[in-house]
Amino acid sequence: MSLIFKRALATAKSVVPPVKTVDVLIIGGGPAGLTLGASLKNSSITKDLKIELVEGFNLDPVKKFYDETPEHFTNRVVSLTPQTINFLEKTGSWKFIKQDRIQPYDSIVVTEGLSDAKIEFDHHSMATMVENVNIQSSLYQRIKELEQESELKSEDFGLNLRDNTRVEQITKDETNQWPVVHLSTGEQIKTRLLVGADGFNSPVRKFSGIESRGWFYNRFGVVATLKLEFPVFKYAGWQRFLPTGPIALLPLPDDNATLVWSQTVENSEMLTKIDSEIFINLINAAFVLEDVDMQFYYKQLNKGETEGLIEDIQWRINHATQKYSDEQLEENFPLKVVSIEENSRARFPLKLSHADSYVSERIALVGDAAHTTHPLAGQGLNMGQMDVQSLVGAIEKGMQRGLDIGNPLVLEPYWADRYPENHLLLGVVDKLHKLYSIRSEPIVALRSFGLKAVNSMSLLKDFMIGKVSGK
Amino acid sequence: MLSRHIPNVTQVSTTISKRTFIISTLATLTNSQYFKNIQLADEIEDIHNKLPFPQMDEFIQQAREPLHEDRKFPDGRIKLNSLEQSSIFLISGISALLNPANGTHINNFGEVSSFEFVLKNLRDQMLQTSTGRSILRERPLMNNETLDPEWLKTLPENSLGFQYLKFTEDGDSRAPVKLIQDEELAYVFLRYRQTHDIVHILTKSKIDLAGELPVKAFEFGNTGLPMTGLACFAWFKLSDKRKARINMFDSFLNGLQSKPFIGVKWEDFMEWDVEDVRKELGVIPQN
Ligand SMILES: Cc1cc2nc3c(=O)[nH]c(=O)nc-3n(C[C@H](O)[C@H](O)[C@H](O)COP(=O)(O)OP(=O)(O)OC[C@H]3O[C@@H](n4cnc5c(N)ncnc54)[C@H](O)[C@@H]3O)c2cc1C
Repeated sequence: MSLIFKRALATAKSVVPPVKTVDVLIIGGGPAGLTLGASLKNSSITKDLKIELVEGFNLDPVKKFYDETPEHFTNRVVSLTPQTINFLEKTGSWKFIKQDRIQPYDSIVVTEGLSDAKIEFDHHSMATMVENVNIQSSLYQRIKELEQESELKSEDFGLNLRDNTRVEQITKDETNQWPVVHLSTGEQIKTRLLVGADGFNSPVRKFSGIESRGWFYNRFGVVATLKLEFPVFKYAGWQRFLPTGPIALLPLPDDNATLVWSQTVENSEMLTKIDSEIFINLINAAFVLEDVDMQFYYKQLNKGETEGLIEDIQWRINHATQKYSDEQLEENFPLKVVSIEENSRARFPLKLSHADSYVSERIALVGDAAHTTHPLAGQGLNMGQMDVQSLVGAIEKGMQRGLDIGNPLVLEPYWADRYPENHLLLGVVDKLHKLYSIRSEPIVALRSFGLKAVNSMSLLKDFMIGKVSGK
Repeated sequence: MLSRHIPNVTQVSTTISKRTFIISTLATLTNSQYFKNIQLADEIEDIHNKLPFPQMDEFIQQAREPLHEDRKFPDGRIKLNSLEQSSIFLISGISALLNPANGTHINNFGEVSSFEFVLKNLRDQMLQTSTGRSILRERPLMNNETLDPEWLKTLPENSLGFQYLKFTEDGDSRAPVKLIQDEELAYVFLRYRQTHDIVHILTKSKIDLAGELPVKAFEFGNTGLPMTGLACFAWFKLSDKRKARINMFDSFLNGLQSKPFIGVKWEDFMEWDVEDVRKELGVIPQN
């Protein structure tokens, strides 16, 4: 749609514009929404559906990423399971992933801040680090490719993607009760099936009246893109459970790495503001030092006292590591972080939420709109991908039976398939977060014992890897 | 030195029956005569004379040889395995009880009874403040070289420095730490030891038994070191008249509610009036 036309609409709001009607209206151009659009168009059964995708933000960075790839790594990076990658391969989008910007890794070393317990999970390519924008871009490229392959004119292709357009209101059509979505451009779209891929605050979920339960963790996830002292030799993820929340350092190609550090509200704000040299030192400290040291640093930094802090951190790190041989250092601690990508620090509130249902009459929710989880297990986006896979399957079946795809009978198998699995994962992650927030000594002793015990049972470990990597 | 020969105790205890050895040791321990003589080799020789084991000759021979260098840390502390630590705990504990006047037993027992978690707790108190951290980092010692007597002499009479000088004039320098295995925790213990005289000054306690007891109670409250707590039991040995004069519980509470002494940079307080130091740290002087 031309800009001039949009403006004309905006100024002429009083004139009721024509209502467009589609089969599927997807709200949200995040990973979940784009995957749904691409998979529906990729399926021989659903490819003729008329689909509209609406995204509130500007998708230019996503659209440009493939041809004008930025030099630096972005700070939103997720860990994809083999199962998710497998699904994206089937969708045909994985080949558009910029392969030189992703990093598979073979092990994750988990330690804790109050004891020396350690557990190591090893599995060839257990997960792959990919920037969110790389995923979105690959899906966008796949949608473009499908459009070309269809040899239809773009209006007839049947997947219209619009960004910079917000959903303002959702109502019901008076005659047939279909959802009608009112956009910030003044347009209205009536749809047979409305899919909320619109994230945690999902306007679609609110409209549908589906309850969502959960709570804020009172923690923020601080992210950043970092450089390590050397290119990594063995790609591994590192995670340490500190009483304030877990810190994770995950590999990107060469000497790059990405950080997710769950922190208290106060500390997270401080971490995004402090001098980057101190920030780097603090990350290194967090993987090595004891709680008492970290608490001292937080206290000083929250008071704005930074004098001598870096020297102090380095003294403590040296003191704590001097007893190890080089080999032991390599086994027990990640490589040192030496610098940070400018302006890559950001923080996100962490929460748990789960919608009571993912479907109702002409409504389906996927991804974060249906559930959000603590990032400590790196599962949020992966869960959304599995949602999409399952929802597409349900729609395919419904169409094969000649049913209306907005019919709850078509949609409910999706919910029945995904809800229990997501619920289990949300619960386990929540319990883990709580277990590791505890400082009480007997509990620390018990959980360290538990962790060490699990570490020595390879059968159980393989089972756990299987669960989280979807193998 | 007693401690130097200790490691070999277990060497022998593995060759002879461990049980017999301990029983025979305990049997002889009751005769406090042995502990006037702090050479463990002599002690063992005495045991040997009473309960001869052929393997003993060899052991005593070994025990008299200087300690092997690889049984020592670079700073002179002695490497001990846990069995050796328990042996020393037992022997020095009983010896110290039987003969409280002998400083070596008390020192050894103080060290081996300061279990890692207790010392870590003390160290963590230091790590919570900037001053505490700087002490741990610089590891200052309190002795004639670092606290120049000539300088202390020039301070006013009621200053901490001058009082400290008066207390340490007779050359009561504090023994180095020998038996604590972790080098940082060894320093923490040394710092505690070097603070002892200051506790006397701040609590206005003399160095006789009547003064030593409330100091121990204070230190127990302030540091939680087991040895200071055990030492308090000596109170029961006092006559009723003296018991009535010494209120151990008050001293304990005093130590508990005062700021942790382990994290105080005494070196910076030398010029302060003792009364002000007490106020700063929340110490109520006894008597
Ligand atoms: C710190 C952190 C680390 C994480 N690490 C991982 C990880 O390692 N692995 C993993 O799997 N997951 C991870 N996650 C979770 C993952 O980022 C999310 O689960 C995922 O981004 C959700 O995708 P989505 O498409 O469902 O929702 P979103 O990405 O939230 O997309 C929703 C979209 O809807 C749009 N929208 C919302 N409202 C409107 C409206 N009214 N009108 C128009 N558009 C609207 C938004 O603009 C947005 O683009 C992490 C999350 C955080 C915070």
